[in-house]
Amino acid sequence: MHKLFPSQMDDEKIYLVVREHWFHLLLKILIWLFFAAALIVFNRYALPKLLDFAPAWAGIIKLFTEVYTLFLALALFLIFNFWYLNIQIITNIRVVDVDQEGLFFHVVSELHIDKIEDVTSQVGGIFGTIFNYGDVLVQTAGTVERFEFPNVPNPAAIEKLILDLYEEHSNLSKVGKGTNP
Amino acid sequence: MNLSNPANLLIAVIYYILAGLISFFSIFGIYILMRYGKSTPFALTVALLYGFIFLAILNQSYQTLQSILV
Repeated sequence: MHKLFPSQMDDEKIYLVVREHWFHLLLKILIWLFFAAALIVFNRYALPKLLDFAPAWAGIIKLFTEVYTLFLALALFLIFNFWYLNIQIITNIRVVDVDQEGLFFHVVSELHIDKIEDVTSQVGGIFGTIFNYGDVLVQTAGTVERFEFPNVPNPAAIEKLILDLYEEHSNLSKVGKGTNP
Repeated sequence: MNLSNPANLLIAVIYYILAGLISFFSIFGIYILMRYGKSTPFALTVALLYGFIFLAILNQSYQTLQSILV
């Protein structure tokens, strides 16, 4: 079984694995498309005129467009990478936030269910309301005061799931304590 | 490649710096995808696809550089 995070236990039940809503990924890709379109427009309209003006520069211009294409390919790959590697996981024992903050900084934060103090979900803005995505904020009693799940789909359901797991965990703890006279 | 010409040398240096940086970030991007993406088939496919596309464009750009620096 491949583990989603380093300390995952074999008998730990994964309830939910969530990433940023696809609409946010789409927004980043649209920005990327703007830069890709700039290259296409340049090749289609500006390049012929430039070559008429300075034919000796044809090779250099071609090299420049190819290096620019390399940048575009890398940018798209990194957009996907950061979306794919930033995940939030809810198990029966804890909540895990895996953040890839840049290429060289990987952060894994864990919060045990019994350390949860408060859970809030919020949906804001036109697109958040239409596509039902928003933030889930988990207030903790741990070192990290607040866990944030930004731009996740169906935040109300995630909030409910976390609270249900907290209730279940609390009930199990009470049963464990209450059986002995 | 004719690098005795200062203009050619400048073009080659700039190209190697840019291509080197892009290659470094690409390799590191593939590495972190493999490491933290847990080598799932999906992550592997994306990494391979990107690798092929990147190498194809890099090869094309290098051939263009060679044709300029003759």
